Amino acid sequence: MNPELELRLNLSDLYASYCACLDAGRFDDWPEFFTDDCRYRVVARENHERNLPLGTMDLQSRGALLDRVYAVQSTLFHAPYYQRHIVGPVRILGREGETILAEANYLVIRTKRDQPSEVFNAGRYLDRIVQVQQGLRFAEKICIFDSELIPNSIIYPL
Amino acid sequence: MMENIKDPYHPGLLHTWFVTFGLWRADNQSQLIMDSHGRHACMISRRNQVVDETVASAASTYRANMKLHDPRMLDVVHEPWWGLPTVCMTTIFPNVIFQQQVNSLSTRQIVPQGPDQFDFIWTHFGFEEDTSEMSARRLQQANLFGPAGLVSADDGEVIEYSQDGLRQDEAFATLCELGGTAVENTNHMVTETLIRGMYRYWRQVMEQ
Repeated sequence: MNPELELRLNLSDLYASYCACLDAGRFDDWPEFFTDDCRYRVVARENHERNLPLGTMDLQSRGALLDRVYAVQSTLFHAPYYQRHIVGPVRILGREGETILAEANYLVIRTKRDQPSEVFNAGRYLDRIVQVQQGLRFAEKICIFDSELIPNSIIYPL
Repeated sequence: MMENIKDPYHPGLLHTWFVTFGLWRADNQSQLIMDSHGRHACMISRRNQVVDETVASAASTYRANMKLHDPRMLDVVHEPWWGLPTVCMTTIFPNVIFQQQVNSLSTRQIVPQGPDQFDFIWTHFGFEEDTSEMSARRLQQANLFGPAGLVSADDGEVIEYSQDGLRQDEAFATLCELGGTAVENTNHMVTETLIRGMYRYWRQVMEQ
């Protein structure tokens, strides 16, 4: 197969699997989508565009992702909710050596018990993706959300 | 949310992170100090890294085996201006909170949007003379606070729970006099003296 076409199909699979993992609440599997020295950030668009360093969540290794998963599953007091990710087509922005730079719009819909579904978080993923032996992995994933007003709290990864 | 930062007792019950890593526990050395009107207050405490066995067995939120894969969020470096305490939570009546919890510094502003809704604005800050290492440390510790914070998200969620619960029945009432009825500074956390102080002042102003 044309390698460019194959890459696009693999990227599409990566994002589809990522969303399926989170929407099924399989948080134990979430860190597997990342490299060991990854960076995962959730940041308001306002902060991102002004180049302000504070993230709503800022995890700087796969170990930190595991710590977040432990908190989600064992320590964070919260009302559980479903997430539904709707992700637009992946757009390749460029390459830096072996690293692929890509972005994709996302919408996360939240459904709490006995409540109608609501738009929870809308934004854009800005990602750096590398090929490892097992497939494509995120070396960096930045979730840049549009509204700085968060409906109370963000518990699960976006 | 203002009451939250005037209630020194809840962190030991609610925040597993604080209890496990000794950042806030009811048995830590602490002080509750108000201004002469009882409206502004400081909750001051000192991190305790050693957990007494009786404390560990009694605290349901304590987890002896909880270890971080990435310890950077708790890479605490003492700064001379703290003195002995490691945390000072300052409430300025009626709607601002200044927070120092180890190396994390922030303000929280409460902007009412009606009788049952408010916006909560977090601003994290550091000092101009901070080294890049200290700035990075403050930013990492910020993972404990804010709307996704490993500690603060507990508060937002439990307050929403409580509000939903109280809304069910307007005639429903609960009375809890933790630490009696007095308004006074204390050297322990088992009291709601700061909340009583604020509402005593509130009544003085509103009933004039």
